[in-house]
Amino acid sequence: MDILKQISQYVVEGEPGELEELMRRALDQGSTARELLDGGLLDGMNQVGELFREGEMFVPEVLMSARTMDLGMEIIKPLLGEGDVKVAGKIVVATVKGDLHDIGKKLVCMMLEGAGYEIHDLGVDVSPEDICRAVEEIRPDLVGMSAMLTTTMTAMKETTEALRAAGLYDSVKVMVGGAPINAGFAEEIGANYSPDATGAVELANALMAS
Amino acid sequence: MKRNFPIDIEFRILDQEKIEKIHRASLRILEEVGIKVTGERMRGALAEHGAVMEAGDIVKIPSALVEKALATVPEVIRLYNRDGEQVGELGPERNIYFGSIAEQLEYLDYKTNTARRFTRDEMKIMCTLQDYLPNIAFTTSVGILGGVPAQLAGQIGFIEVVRNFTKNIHVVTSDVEALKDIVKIAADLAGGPEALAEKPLFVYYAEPIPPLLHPYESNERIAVCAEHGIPFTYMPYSMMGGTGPITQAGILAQNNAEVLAGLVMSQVIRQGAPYIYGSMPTVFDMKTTIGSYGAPEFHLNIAAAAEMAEFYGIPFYGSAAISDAKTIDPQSAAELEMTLFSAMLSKAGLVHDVGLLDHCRNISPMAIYLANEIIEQLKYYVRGVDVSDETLLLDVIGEVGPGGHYLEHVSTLKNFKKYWYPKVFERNMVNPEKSDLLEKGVEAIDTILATHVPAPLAPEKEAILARHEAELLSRVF
Repeated sequence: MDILKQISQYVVEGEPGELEELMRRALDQGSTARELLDGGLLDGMNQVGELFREGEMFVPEVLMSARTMDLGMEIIKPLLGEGDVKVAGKIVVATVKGDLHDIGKKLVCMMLEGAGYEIHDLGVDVSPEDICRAVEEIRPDLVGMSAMLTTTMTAMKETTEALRAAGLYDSVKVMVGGAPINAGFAEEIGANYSPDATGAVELANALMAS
Repeated sequence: MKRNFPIDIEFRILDQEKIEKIHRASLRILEEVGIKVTGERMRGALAEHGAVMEAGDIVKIPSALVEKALATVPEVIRLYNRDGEQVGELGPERNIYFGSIAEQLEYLDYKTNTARRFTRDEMKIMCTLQDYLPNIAFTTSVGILGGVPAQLAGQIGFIEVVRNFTKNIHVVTSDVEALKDIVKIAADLAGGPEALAEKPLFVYYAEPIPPLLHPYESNERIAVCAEHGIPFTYMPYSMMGGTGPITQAGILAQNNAEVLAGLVMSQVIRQGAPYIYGSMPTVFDMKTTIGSYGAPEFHLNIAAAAEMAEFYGIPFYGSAAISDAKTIDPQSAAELEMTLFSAMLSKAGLVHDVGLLDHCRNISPMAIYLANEIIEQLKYYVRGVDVSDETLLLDVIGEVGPGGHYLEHVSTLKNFKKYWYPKVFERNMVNPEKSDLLEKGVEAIDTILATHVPAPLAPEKEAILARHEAELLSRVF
């Protein structure tokens, strides 16, 4: 099997095994970091995405693949030039004010990270002011908000309003999700909805492309 | 109080050794890992009673404190209606009461079998239907009523349920403030705080956030209920491999630790505060990331947790007649039956969420109507087999003899009505070519809604509700 295919296979299997050794050997033999990234690591993650959508792979396996890809990235990062690694997008993520639930948000972060996004996770119970501040400092492409309760979903509206008041709303696209949320509510508050973590990745990609 | 129906059947998931192992594991979690508790009142009460306060809001609970709480928690909890009449009893005399909810995010229209947004009109339907159906003993005001300001949804929802429902009422609120308002309304209805504590006219439902988070927003509800003598459950909803360990033993131990933590918190606020063991340890579906409501392991875990509750001598709050399917279809029908069967065999006292579909997104009147029938069916299962000289009918077998028949024997005439005759399900010799069961169900629900009127609330109580409603609305408008 050619060496790139082997690297990609390690990512799909989520098993670092001899990944490091293999990648160093490939570099010694004259492969570029860029080739290892595109033909190996990213190729593997693309397959993972497809397998997950088809129901062939499960969340913990996807997360292991993402972790394996990270290991590979560590090796080639110093060798990659400016512009070689394109971040898919920058996103600020938070569970909104008054809400302490974060398993859904964590999952979304992990999935987005696996899809190449730069994640800034502000944690739980984050006020509209703190989200605005983070947007000002980080200048993300996207803002993701999570809420588990019907009483805290109103904080999502407060946040989109605060972003508007601060003149930041037009510089970002807002994504929301969580048990009580639906597309209608998202539209009302000027946000975009996805029902689950993979949906969030697809939504983020669509928003980045638009 | 007379048992609501006889149960004479053995069903066990955990033996004594397994129960004790889980118990010891939970004690170690509380003692060695600890839980995270915020809020000065609860932290103060825990510290005062010997809990160990550590950095990062971690509180470690010594086993002795758990044992002490187990010694003071009452074994029997009486259930009342809005008028302070006793309508049930939880305790060693095994009763099972099934209940549903009064509102939800979505409503599955029983006529069209399609889901839509839940509105205030549907709450009336939920109350009337559940008030009528004999196997539904309580409904729950969930605190998410649409069409009213979110911060008042719990209070207004409760008021609406009191107006329209004559059985036992359960309450969930999205925040502590709504609970405090509801306690005030209930105290006025009961005739003062002491009368409310004597005959609490609702049961409350609170939750920690697994794993092991017990923030002010959760534990203050415990404190409010404990102070006012409101029976409540403190229900960890956890997902194996997500918010709980992936093994069933592990999640049972973690959930049990959360429940024991809630118990300790209730007893350090007030010794003898009524407490109901609740646990929802489910499967985190790694394909779709839903927390499953129809998974067999979920219901096995719930029934196992009910045995932990029995071990402690605390009533159990179960969950059944629920499904991951969105509509009335083969999947939801199968999951209604499976989950009700499990609950019926388990040691649950209260069983909530009847008719909740789409993994907790919509409520279905048709599912509640069908569950009412299935519960009736299962009563005939859990009553077991009566084996005695009278029931062996040896003399009758001798009388009839080989080749005879029992159709005309007096014993047949005397006993045949003891078996179940379905009201909804059918046993026609010649069945229709196409099932008309759901069409008949629609007609039946229509008739119930058109003819059943829950007994009206006494005028002086209605006046109390109206006064509170006006005060609540004046806060926002």
